[in-house]
Amino acid sequence: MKRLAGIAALLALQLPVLAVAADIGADGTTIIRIEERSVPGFSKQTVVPATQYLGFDAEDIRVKGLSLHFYGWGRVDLADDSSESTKPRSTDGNFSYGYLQYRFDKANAGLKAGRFFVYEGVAAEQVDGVYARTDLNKGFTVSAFGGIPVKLDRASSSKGKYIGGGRLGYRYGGILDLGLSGLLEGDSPTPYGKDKRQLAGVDLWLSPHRMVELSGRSSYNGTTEEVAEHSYLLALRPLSGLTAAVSYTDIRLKDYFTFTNTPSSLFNPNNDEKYRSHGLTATYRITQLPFPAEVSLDYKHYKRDSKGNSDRYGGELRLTPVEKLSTGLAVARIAAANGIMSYSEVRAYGLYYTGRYSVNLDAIANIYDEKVYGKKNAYEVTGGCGYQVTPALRVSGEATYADNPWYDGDVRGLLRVTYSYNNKKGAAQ
Amino acid sequence: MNRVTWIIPAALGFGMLLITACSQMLPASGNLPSSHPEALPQGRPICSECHETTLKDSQKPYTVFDHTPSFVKDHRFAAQAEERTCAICHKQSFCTDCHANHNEIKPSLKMGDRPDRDLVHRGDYMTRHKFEGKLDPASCYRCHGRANNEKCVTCHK
Repeated sequence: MKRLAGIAALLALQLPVLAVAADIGADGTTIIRIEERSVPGFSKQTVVPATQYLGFDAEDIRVKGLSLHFYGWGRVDLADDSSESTKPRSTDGNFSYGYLQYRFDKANAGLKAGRFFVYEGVAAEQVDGVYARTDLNKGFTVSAFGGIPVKLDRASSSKGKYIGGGRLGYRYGGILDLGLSGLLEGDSPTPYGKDKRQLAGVDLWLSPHRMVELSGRSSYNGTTEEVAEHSYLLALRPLSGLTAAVSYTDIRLKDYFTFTNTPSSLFNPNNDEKYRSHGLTATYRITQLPFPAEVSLDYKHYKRDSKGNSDRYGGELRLTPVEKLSTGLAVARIAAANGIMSYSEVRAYGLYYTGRYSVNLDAIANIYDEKVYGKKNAYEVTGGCGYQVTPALRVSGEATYADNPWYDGDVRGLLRVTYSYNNKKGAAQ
Repeated sequence: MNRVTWIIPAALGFGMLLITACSQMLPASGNLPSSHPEALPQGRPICSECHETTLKDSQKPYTVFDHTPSFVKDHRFAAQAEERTCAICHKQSFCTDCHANHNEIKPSLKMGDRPDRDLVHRGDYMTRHKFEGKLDPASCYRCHGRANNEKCVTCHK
């Protein structure tokens, strides 16, 4: 409840900004779910959680380039506790981000201060701190961030004491983008105590010809002094509408999982084995006659020292037979080295938008090779509709019926109200 | 106050000032726009259908940002070097719908009215997660290894 109150207070403090900002945006989504949970050995529950997502953006506050961004969510249970975590509670929430940003008028330079997510090379972190980036001369770019990593609710020690990092990039004429990045986190938890988390990485984008593009990265764990990951993707575009992408991944699990903040039973850093995969995705888009369509085929091979060789085969067909109607059909087969993990999947969906109304239907089925809790099949069917009350206000809802190894005849309902206001011209973000 | 508590913020502050100073000493160059100037249709955009050349100030062809199935699946490669380009069309909340420190509602449920979107964990994922976790544990780790794992640890102790 303290967290929810904090979010509300923070939002209230931002209201004066409305008076001085040139562009204002506000987004809200209210979701009320209704579920009955009946699991053998546990008492029956009726859960009705009401969740509110709230976002706020104000740009050009007094000064051109200065903006404020905020996003968070809160949940209140209207019936039994819905939380599925170590600490069941009737309210919960999360302050996802809230930061001030200043964009300079040249060199793509910018500053951020507050709570934000940073994605720079090896870093994908939520930080309370500061961030800066700029283009430099001769194709160089530089970015840096630092602060305190945002902790999880579960424990105050779920992340380290401080964090810092950055990326130095070099771009050459639409052919090459090469980055060197690093990250340092102090007193970062591991399943076996605390240690200094040190990551370094190189990321690459190379396109010697407009039809060929190689992207990917390698990362080095400075704490274990081993290479943790190589992940690369080669995309080929030989014809208009045709894309083929070949992927390759090679991961040393103990070095990749070193700094998990979960028990070792989940991501075990003691597991001294390699994981490798390679795959191919091919997509062809037809934009002309008879109507727009997209065909995708994918294949992926997985290899783990302890689990053997497994394969995934998939295909998807997306059709737009009439304007405002999107449909899709997808199939997949996972042939695992261990038969107990093999299964097939089929999914079909349709989405129809007309004027103010929308209708959506989604069905997915899994056929497991071996029984799971006495069942080999699982399916879920969701049907819903929506109505645009005003340009800024939309009401929608779905009803779901599912049958799977966990639940017999599971019925769920969801009501959603979305509100979106923006006085800035252009695409909604 | 130990050394770390003041040296790190001081070093960071100095670094930020240095970067800002560098940016302002450069010859004036253009900026990427803060937002896409025109409204976009619903669905996965194919940038190269409207844009023929390269994205100014990023120097990359627009085809790089076409939201094809392989781009959507492997968008982390674009995000690691192109956050400012992503920000033209996406607020950070677009990312946090899936990638967050703490999320309660899975994306396919939150956006259940958009079955056309590629969203993870559809259907009976509770059963499938055991299989996928064994086949490709690294894909789980990216989102749940150090964040958004409150629910995981209720069973994985």
